[in-house]
Amino acid sequence: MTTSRRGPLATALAVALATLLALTGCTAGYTAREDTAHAPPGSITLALTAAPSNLDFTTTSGAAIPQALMGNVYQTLVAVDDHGKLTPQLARSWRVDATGTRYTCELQQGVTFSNGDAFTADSVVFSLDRVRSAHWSNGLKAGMDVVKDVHADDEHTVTVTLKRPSQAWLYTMTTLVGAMFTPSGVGHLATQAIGTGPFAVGSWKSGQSLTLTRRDDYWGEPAAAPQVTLRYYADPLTATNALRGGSVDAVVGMQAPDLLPSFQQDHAYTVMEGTTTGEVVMSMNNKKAPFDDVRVRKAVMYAVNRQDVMDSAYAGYGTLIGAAVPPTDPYYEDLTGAYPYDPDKARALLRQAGVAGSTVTFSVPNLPYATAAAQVVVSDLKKVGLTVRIQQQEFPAVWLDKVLTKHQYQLSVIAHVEPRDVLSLLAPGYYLGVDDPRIQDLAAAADAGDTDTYVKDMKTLIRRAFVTDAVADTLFLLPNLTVARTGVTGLPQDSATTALDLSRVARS
Amino acid sequence: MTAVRAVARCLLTVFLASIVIFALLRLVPGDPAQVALGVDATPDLVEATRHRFGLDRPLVLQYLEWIGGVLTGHFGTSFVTGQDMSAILRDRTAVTLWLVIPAVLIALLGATAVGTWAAMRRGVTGTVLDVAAQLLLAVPAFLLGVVLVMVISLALGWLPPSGWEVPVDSPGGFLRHLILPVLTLAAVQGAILTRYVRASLEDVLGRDYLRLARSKGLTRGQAVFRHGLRNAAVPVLTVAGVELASLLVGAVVIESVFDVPGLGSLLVTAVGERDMVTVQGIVMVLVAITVIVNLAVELVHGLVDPRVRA
Repeated sequence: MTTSRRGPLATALAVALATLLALTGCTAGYTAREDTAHAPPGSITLALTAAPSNLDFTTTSGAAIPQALMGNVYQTLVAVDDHGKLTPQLARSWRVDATGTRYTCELQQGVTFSNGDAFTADSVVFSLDRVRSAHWSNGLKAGMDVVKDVHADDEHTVTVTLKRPSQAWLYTMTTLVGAMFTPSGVGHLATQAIGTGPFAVGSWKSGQSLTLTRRDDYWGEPAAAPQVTLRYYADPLTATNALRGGSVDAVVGMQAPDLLPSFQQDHAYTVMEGTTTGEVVMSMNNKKAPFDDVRVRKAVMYAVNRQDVMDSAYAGYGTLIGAAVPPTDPYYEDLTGAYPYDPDKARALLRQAGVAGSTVTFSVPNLPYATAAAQVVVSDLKKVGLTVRIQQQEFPAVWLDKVLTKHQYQLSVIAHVEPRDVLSLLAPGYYLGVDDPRIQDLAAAADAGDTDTYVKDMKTLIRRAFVTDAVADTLFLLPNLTVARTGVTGLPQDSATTALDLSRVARS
Repeated sequence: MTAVRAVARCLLTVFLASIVIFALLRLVPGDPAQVALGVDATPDLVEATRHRFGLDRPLVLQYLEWIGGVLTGHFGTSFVTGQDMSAILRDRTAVTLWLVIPAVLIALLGATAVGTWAAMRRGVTGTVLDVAAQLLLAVPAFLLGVVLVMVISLALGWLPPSGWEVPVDSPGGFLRHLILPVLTLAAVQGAILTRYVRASLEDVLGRDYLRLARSKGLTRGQAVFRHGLRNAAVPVLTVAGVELASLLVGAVVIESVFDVPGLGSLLVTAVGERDMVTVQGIVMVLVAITVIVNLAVELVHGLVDPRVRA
């Protein structure tokens, strides 16, 4: 009796388990499998935080895609070095005519794309025409609006004609909108990246890893490592544990600085701190009360202790900057002294403006640095008589909807990571609510001038916006924190662009 | 007849769930096109992207197209990742099942052993076990995971701290990667189940049929083993079924701590990006598994307790 009753139960369990095995097979996890098992000697694995959602920056914004692909897979005619200086890349040389609108570029010869196509003047025409077409939907494409015409003079010479002289354009060409594509390589941009760079995409496991393989037919100096795998970890502690456990060689762009001290005391690891282009901007809606009053904005500038904010949000790592301009930009100027921490002055300004004792809402995206920064801001503003109500918002979806698109906010905070993005912050219609024709005139004049007046005019504009008008409180510049196993070399310390240059990374 | 009714009920549940999840995803704030374009978006570009994603078409059409695909086993191409999600969903489900089913089985075995022991010894041992189970209940699973990694992986170097190996690539590596996350999940779930086993068994211990079994000459242990456990099993199995279903997504924290490429972590990313195709696909898989698990629990009830079959 007992056996006959136990029989069906055992059978049911066996069937269930067999179903499980049949369902799962023995390949569970194959869609996330990295290619590190067969990695050639000298291969490097790096841990990063934010995984790109796909490989197509022509239709998807964000720093993660260009971080992995720009310079490594895709290249541009001109590049920018660690000090923000323009250097030749796919263009051997370039010259500008007297009107400042015609750029003639001599291209490198013998350059091929990773699918075998030759890189010629036609590739340049194709790429630059494509940016200006509906194929591109990344908002950064606006940087190419100034281009009137692109013409292939011969196989290795190309002439770009601008609608008006533009100092910013050549710099824009160093960013992702200047990336060179080949017509046969744009069919599946979301999953396949075909460029002229030192690496080709070996494998791409969405949300998990990106493996870059050294190209033997690369036209320049070949990459130092035969293969570099970027591993994306959602949790910073898991990433540092993987470093300690030996499955990754370095953690790049650490977002949890509180995990650093244990590595600093350990000789097996090297900790590097550098700069980024990520300005953490506390926005004050210039079009909404009470921040439509410049006195209230100035009061906030005096009231918030930015050093405390940085200490709390990033354990003191980072750089204080007085405006949304990183020190690596040519028109950087130290404006940190413009609004020293001065609660008394803040209180007086709030009284003058008649808003002392009122309440404002702070839309805080659910990002660790933003939440930490908001705590300090709330307590600082409370001291000067402004009560702040925190409203947590899911980032990116809800924040982009409410704050960026609908401008339904009073105070908010976010890191703006695109290089040289100060003018887009100040553009009319942007969520900061700066709608000042004088700033637009200054921007136009700066862009139309020559190299010297450009820097001077941009500085004037930035002082006007961030000091005189106090349009936003730039809290600090995000640090670039890297922890590497000692012996791993060639990791860039600063990132003056969003690209992570992997060509020199090696292990001794 | 009952079987037909049960299956029909399951299908109806899945169908209703598909409508609810489809509608909910379109009601929550946040637009996939906006997320894709980020801080540099302009209204024109957002509009163009919505068109490219097919989000500007009538909702009924979008729903029918999606559900039609699901019925033929195609979960669709994600407009966020640009990939066909069918294979990825199946694979992620497989990974999560490898984590969750062994964890629940181990929890069930452990809880039966410990819970029975505790129920039969009401004295000091019972109290100690009770306190231990309570403590384990109070510890968040991720904390236990972090501690296990620190001690077993980093300090002792016995097992890898994180990652996943495909079973066919390296069965040994697969098992070594599986142990810590499974144990973490099993410990917390086991603690919950232990309390159910104990309470359920204590309830049974006082019943007449156990006394009758003893009077037939069985020892206390034999009586509990042959008659007590079987009767105590029904509520415990129900809870275990519910746990299994909730763990499919609930394992996300553990997946993140151990960097396991399972369903939960995919769901979190997909929700963040408003990747509707992926979210809908995952939720449908979860609903289907939950329905199947509940059906299985019902069937097992019938096997364990003949009265249920009637």
